[in-house]
Amino acid sequence: VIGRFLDRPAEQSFYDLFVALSPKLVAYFRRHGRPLDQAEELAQDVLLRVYRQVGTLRDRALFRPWVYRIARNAFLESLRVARRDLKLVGLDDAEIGAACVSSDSPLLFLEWMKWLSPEEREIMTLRYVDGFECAEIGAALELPTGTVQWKIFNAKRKLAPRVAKDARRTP
Amino acid sequence: VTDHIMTDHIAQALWIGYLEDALDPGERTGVDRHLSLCPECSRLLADFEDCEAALASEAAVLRRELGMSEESAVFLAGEALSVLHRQAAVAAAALRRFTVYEGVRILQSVLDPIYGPAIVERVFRMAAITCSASVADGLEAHQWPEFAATLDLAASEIWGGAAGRAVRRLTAHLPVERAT
Repeated sequence: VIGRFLDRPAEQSFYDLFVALSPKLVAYFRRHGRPLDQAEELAQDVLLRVYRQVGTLRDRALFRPWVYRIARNAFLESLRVARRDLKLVGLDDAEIGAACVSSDSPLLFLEWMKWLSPEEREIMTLRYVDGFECAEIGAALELPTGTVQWKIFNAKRKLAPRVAKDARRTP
Repeated sequence: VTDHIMTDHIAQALWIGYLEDALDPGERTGVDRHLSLCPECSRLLADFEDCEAALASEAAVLRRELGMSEESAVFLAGEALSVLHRQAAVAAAALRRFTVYEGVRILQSVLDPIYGPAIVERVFRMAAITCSASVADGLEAHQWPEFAATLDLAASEIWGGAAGRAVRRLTAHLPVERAT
């Protein structure tokens, strides 16, 4: 779907791309505490930006990180607007990793992420929830691939005892 | 968990390469050999593998929990296309050129409040006659350049040079359709 869109960014290929990517984007915004209606609105906004700006993408292999950066910026922008309304300042990128989702059942992944730094949370979420390769995470967050691998390894070291404990609790 | 890895056991850089499947065959064989002999490192590997499996499994739960139905995605995609169509229509409207009739009316609406409708009407009629047309019957697209030039001269003669220059600028920048 991505390849078809990049080969020929037209209405039909955009429609297919939209159907494929919008659930992931909605999930991304919901992970960051946005209610469903706002998440859908933000996802639509992101994909419309993708359609308009796809001509500026230089390396098609970095499409996913590029979309992620657009989504991340859209989220930060929405936070800034919300903060401005509340007359608060001092937003920094650390907030990007703050996940907040209400659910009837405990979401272990989110519980585990609380043990990590905001940057580690973002990296681990991109890796496991969004299925990004380390190189894609590096491109999205402007980090060397080796640094990403290093951070994933350290995050797993932190999480291993916690994960093992939760596994023992789970019948 | 791994304080001792860096000294006596598999170094962190090797662990990362091993887990990311990025070691060359020789390095990988070395790590495999060490793992077969070292219960601590092999336990650590099991911990990493369990952690990896648990993260993947719980991430899938999270994806399901936060996912959106395909129907919703299709609906949103339709809405997005509508937005694109609306934007395209606005862009097309912005590129549209005025008809000659509209151009004449726009010029009149600018000049009427300054010089009065009666004299403006008369000047427009004179300019139209010069290019063998009538304002009342409407000008053809090919007559617009001559009409505009005549109007400019007439405005200069009747209202002075400043008015003539103003009319020239107006007609030059007014996007009126031309004969093809």
